[in-house]
Amino acid sequence: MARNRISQIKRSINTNSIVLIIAAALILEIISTIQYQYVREEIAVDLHLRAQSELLAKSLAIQNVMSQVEAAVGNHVWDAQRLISEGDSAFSVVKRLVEQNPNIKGSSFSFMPDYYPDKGYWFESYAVRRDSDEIELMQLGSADHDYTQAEFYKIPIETDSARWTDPYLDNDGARMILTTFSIPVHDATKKPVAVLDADISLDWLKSILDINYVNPSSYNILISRSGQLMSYPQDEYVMLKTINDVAKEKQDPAFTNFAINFVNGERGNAVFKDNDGEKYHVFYAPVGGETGWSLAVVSSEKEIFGNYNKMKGNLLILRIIALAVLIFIIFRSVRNINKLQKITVERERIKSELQIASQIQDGMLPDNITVDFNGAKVEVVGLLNPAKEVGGDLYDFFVKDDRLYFCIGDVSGKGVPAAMFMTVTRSLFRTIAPYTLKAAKILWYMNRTMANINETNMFVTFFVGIYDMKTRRLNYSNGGHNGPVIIENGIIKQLEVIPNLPLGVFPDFDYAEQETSLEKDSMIFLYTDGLTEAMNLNKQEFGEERMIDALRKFAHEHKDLTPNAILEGMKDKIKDFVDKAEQSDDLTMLSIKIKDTTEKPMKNALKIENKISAIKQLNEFVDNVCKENLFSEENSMQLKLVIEETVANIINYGYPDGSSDEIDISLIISEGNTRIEIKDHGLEFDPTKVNDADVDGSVEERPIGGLGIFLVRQFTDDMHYKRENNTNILVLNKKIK
Amino acid sequence: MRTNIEETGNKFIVNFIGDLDSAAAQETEKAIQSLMDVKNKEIILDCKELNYISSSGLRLFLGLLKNCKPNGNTLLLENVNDNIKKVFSMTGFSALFNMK
Repeated sequence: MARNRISQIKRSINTNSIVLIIAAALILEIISTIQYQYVREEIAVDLHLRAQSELLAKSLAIQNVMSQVEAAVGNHVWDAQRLISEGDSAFSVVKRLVEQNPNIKGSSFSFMPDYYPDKGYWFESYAVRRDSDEIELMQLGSADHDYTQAEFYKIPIETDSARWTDPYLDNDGARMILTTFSIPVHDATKKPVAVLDADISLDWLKSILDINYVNPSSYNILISRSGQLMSYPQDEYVMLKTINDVAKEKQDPAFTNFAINFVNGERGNAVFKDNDGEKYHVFYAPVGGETGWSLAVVSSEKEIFGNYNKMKGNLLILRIIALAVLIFIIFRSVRNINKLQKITVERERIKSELQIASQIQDGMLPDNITVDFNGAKVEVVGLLNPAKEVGGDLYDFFVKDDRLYFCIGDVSGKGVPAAMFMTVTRSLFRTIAPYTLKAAKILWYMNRTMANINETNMFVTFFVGIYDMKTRRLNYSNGGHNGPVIIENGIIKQLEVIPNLPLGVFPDFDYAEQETSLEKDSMIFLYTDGLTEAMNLNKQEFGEERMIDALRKFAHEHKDLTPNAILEGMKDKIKDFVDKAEQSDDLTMLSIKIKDTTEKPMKNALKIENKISAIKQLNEFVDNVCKENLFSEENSMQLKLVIEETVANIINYGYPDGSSDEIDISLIISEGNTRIEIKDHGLEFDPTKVNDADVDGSVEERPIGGLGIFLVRQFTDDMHYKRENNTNILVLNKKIK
Repeated sequence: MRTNIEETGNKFIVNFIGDLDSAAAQETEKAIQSLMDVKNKEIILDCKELNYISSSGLRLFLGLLKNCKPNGNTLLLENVNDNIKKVFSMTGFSALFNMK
C-alpha cells in the first residue's frame, strides 16, 4: 500500500515537473517573442522616423539653396521684361544677376531667333564668373551653339513656365555638375520671347548629403527628374547612369519597383536585396520645389537590426541557460520531494506505531480504584505523563483478597527501549506479585528474572508495597527507588526505606524487607525522579524540598485531602515551576489514601477460650507475630511472657463460677512500639492496682504466686485498664527497639 | 514441652525441652513429682533446651527448691539462656538458685 502510494506520488511529480518545464519554456519563449516583436517594431518605427527626418532635412537644405537661385532669377525677370526692347541691355541684366548672387556661376538671356535683327539670328547674352571672380560677358548663340534646341530654353518657351534643367556635366572637363534654372520672359503681348536663366554648380550637394542621419553607413541616392544619378555610393555611376540602369543591374523586382516609384516622384519605402543577398531598407521622397529631384536614404538591415540580432542571440543563450537551471532545480527538488515524501511516510508510520505503543502503555496502567473493605477504604489514583510518546516509567496496583499491591518504577533511559523494558517489568510484577505476601520476595524474583535476561544492561528502580487492609500493616521493599512520602493525620514524613539496588543488575541480590503500620487516616505518595528533577529554564530542579512543601500545603489546605487533589496540585506546581521549559523526563505519581472507619479484627488478633490449655495456642500466635515482624528473641520472649501472664491470670482468676468465655488478644505493631489489647468478660479486675510482689525474700519467705503481674509490669512500658460493658479492657504498650 | 529425668549415682539430671508456659506447667509438675520424694541427692536442672519460661514455670522451680532443703537435696541450674536469666534476675530468683 505504502509503496504503491510512493510510486504514485513519484509519477505524478515527474509528470508535473515535465509539464512545468514545458510551460516555463513556452512562457519564456512567448515573452521573448513578444519582446522581440516589440523591439523590432520600435526599431522600424525609429528607422522610419529618422529616415523621414533625414529626407526632409536634406530636401529642405537643397530647396533652400535652389530657391535662392529661383528667387534671384525671378527678381531679374521683371528687369529683363522692362528692358526687352533694348537688345544691348540684355548683357547688363545677366551681369547684375551674376554679380549679385555668389551662388550663381553663370547666367544667360537667350532670345527667340531673329528677335533683335541687328544682333543676328541667334542671340544669347551670357555672363560667367571666372575663377578670379571677374565677370566676363559674351554672346554664345551661333549655328554651332543652337540654344533653341537646348533644354534650358526649349521647354520653358514651350510650356511657358520656369524650370530647372536636368543636371549636366560642365564641359570644362572639371566634372563639375551643373544645373540651370530658366524663366520665360514675355514681350508686351505676353508671348514668351526669351529665357532668362542661371547656372549653378551642385558642389554643395555633397556637403549636405554627406551627413548621415540614419546610420553610420547609410547612404543617399539623389536623382534628377529623368532618373539621372546625382549622388550614389559608387562615384563612377554619378551623372553617367540612371536609377533604371541600376535597377537593371540589380535585377531585384523590389528594387525595380522602387526605381519606378522613385523616378515618378512618389514617396515611400521598400526593402530590396543586394546582389550578395543582403537586405536594404530604402526610404524615398521627392525633394520638392521646382527641382523635380527625388532623394532616397538606404540603410542595410544588418546595420539596422545588427544590435537587435546580437541582443536576440545573447538573450537566446540566456534563455537556454535559464531553462537548464530551471530543469536542474526542478529535478533536484523532485528528488528532494521524493526523499522527503519517503521520510514523511516513514515518519508517519513510526508516529502511528508509537501512538499505538503509547496506547498500549496507557492501557497497561490500571484504572484508579476505590476499595471499601468492610469500612476500610482505600483510594488509589495514578498519573503518568511521558516526556515522549512512550516512556520508561510505570506504576501498577491491584487488590487481591484484603491486600492492596502497588508499585512504582523508573526504567533507565528513555524512549522505545525504556518502554519495552517497562512492559517487561510490569508483566513480571503482575505475574509474580499475586502469589506472595512479601514485597521483598516480589523484588527478589523480579530482579532475578530481569538480571538473567538483561543483555542491554538496563535497570529499573522499583518500589513495591503490600498494604493489608485488615491490619493496616504496610509490607514494603525498595529497589533503588525514591522512598514514598507518608501523610498521617496531616503530618508529612518520609517512609524509612532501605535503598537496596535497582532491579536487573545483580541476580543474587537479597532485598531487605520492611514493614510498618499506618494510621487510620493516612496517605502514601509515590513518585519518580521526573518530579524532583523537573527542570525550569534556569536549569534548576524542582527538588524534594519543594515537593514536601507542596504536600504540606495540600495537607494543610484540604481537610479531607483526596489522592486526586494531590496529583493535580502537584502537577500545577510543577507546571508553574517548569514554565516554558520542555518536559525532559517522564513524570509519574501514585497517590493512595487510606481511610479506616472501623474497629476491626486485625490480623494480629486472636480469640481464645478461657482455658489454660488455650495458652499454647496463644503463645504460638504471639510467636508468629513476632517472627513476622522480625522481632528479636529477647523482645519476642518478653512479649510472649507479658501476654501469657496477663491472659493466664484472667483464666485462672476471672471465672470462679467456671463459665466459659472468649478472650480477645490483639497486637498493634508500629514503628518502635507494640500495643497489646486484651479483652475479657470475666470478673472485674484491674491489674494496675495490684501491688508489686516481694522479690527480695528468701526461699522460705517467697510466696508461690504473684509473680505474673510483676513480670508484666517489668516487661511493658505502660499499662491501662478500663471496664466497659462488662468487659475488662487492658492495654499494654511495649517499646520494641 | 518435654521433660526427661536421668538418674546417675546420687545425681538427678532433669532436661527441659521446649516452652515451659502455663499450659505446660501442669504436665511438667507431674513429670517432676518424683523428685519431691528423693533425699540427699544432687538435682541438676539442665535448661539447655528450655526456650521459655513463664511464672507458672518459675513456680515449679521455686516449689522444687523449697522442697530440697528439708530433704537434704541440692539444686543446680545449668545452661540457662540469657533471656531466661533476665527473668530470673528480675524476679530475684537468681539470688535463690545456684546457677552454672
